[in-house]
Amino acid sequence: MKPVVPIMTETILESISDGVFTVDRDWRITSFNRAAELITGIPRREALGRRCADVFRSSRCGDDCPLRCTLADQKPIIGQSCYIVTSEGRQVPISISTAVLRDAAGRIIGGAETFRDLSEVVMLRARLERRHRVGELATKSAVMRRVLEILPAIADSPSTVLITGETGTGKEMLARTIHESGSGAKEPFVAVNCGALPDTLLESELFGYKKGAFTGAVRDKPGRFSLARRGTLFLDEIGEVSPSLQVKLLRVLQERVFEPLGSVRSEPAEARIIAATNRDLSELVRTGRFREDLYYRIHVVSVQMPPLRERREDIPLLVQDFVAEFNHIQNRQVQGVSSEALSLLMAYGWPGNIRELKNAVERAFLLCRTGSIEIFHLPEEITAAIPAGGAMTMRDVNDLIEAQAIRRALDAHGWKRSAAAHELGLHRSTLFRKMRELGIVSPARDGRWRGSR
Amino acid sequence: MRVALVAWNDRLAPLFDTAVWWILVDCTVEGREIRRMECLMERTPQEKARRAVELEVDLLLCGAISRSLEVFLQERRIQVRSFLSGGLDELVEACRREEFDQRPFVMPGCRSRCRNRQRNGFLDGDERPRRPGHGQKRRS
Repeated sequence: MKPVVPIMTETILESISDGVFTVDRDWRITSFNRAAELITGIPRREALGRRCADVFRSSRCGDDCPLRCTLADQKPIIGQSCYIVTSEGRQVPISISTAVLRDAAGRIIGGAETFRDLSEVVMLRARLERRHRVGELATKSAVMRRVLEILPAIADSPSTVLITGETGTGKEMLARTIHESGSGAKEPFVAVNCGALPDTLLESELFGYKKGAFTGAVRDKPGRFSLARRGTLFLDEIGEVSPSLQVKLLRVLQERVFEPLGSVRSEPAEARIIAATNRDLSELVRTGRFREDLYYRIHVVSVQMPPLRERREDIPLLVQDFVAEFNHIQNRQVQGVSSEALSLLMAYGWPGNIRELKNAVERAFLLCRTGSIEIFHLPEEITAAIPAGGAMTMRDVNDLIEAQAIRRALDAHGWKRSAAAHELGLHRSTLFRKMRELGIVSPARDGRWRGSR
Repeated sequence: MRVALVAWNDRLAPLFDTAVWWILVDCTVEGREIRRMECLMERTPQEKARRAVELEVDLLLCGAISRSLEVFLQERRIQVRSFLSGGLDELVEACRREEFDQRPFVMPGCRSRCRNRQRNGFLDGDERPRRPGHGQKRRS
């Protein structure tokens, strides 16, 4: 009769969904459970007695073998990620755990490796990732998701689009995404910053010129309208265009033709126009600085890019993207951002929006060559709220974030504490206590002040 | 003819994708062999495959390999004998005698793969490089 404990162990090993194999001291496989057969696709009879690397063929086999490390320092390894390659050449993502095997006398007789198939987890993660991304735009925020929801419809239509939003919110990136999601994606995307060029130069940049049109025009030069062909012409800072050029742009948008400088022949303007501004165009129209007819011509579809402070939940995702980008460009191995530094980034107001965040990460890369970006790698304007002395605990960071959230809510409600508490999801008395603890003092005139009534 | 064997210690490395070394064996017309080692540590799997193309490798002997890399190499007319295991010297000898598909060299679970390979050949149109004195005569 077989002893009860080995039979139980065998039954348990056969019933679990994790692959398990054991090796002797010569790295030959001594047991291989049913799940190991299923995950690797290798029958047990072929695996037993073979070298484990020839059977397992994972991306960690070789000098980096986790089981080798475990047998060397006698410490188990838990849940390290890697992949194996099946006999069809398919990569299967797995997580590995290892342990030392000893006999009854405590002598090491080999090792055990447990591995879990992560294919489904990786697939679901990828699906989730796709939900958070359209082109280069990454978001988890509800306000940005509303923008992304209408994006396919905008991309499919030829209508002129106006993108508004504060500086640095990613207007050009949105314009690129619209272009790349549309049917003209293979055509050029041409961007022009209308605020960066003087009026006459901008006109020749947009429409081009013919040889002899002016002194120095020694040959024909195509304008951006021509270069964009049937693609997209992105007119950034459209609010800065002079009144005379506004008239010319209006004509192009209405009649879809333009004349290069010095030409007597019209050329078709087939590019789709996407305009962007950080100015309030309706206000410019009201004050007579922007033509009303041009405003309505470019305002066919409008998209408002929210400032970063209204989509703080996207900061970790954006930071992760920037770290990956700078690691690639600068050939570094920065791991990411520490939780304390990330908390500070989340709490900061970001007046310069995504551009400022990207600059902050780039600056941190100057000081941080490996490991994680810490608080002391961040620019001063972000760390200004840290108390003198430098060192900061998690509690300090939490207090800082809480204080900023409370101040923001109080400001938004004219220092009416009941409304602020409601927005913050706190009881009024809890808000009072936190204000006291965090040293938040009401201004002389707050929400309770009734003098104006 | 240039043969590359992906190495780990004195054996074929179990996985091409993450291999750290390979041995390049140049077989001259006179039957001499010139061997040299090259480090692949800093290279990504794709860079390793591109390096094989740069070095004009004719035949790659390796353990497991991801399908995309194998296809990349085959499309560039590099013959890939994958899912093999064994000592490097034994494999070089087997290469001489074209006996890779013998049982000791095949990784566990890959017998059917090798059977298909024998039946179907490696490349459509079979323009694979051959050692002098081999190939055409045998096929006719």
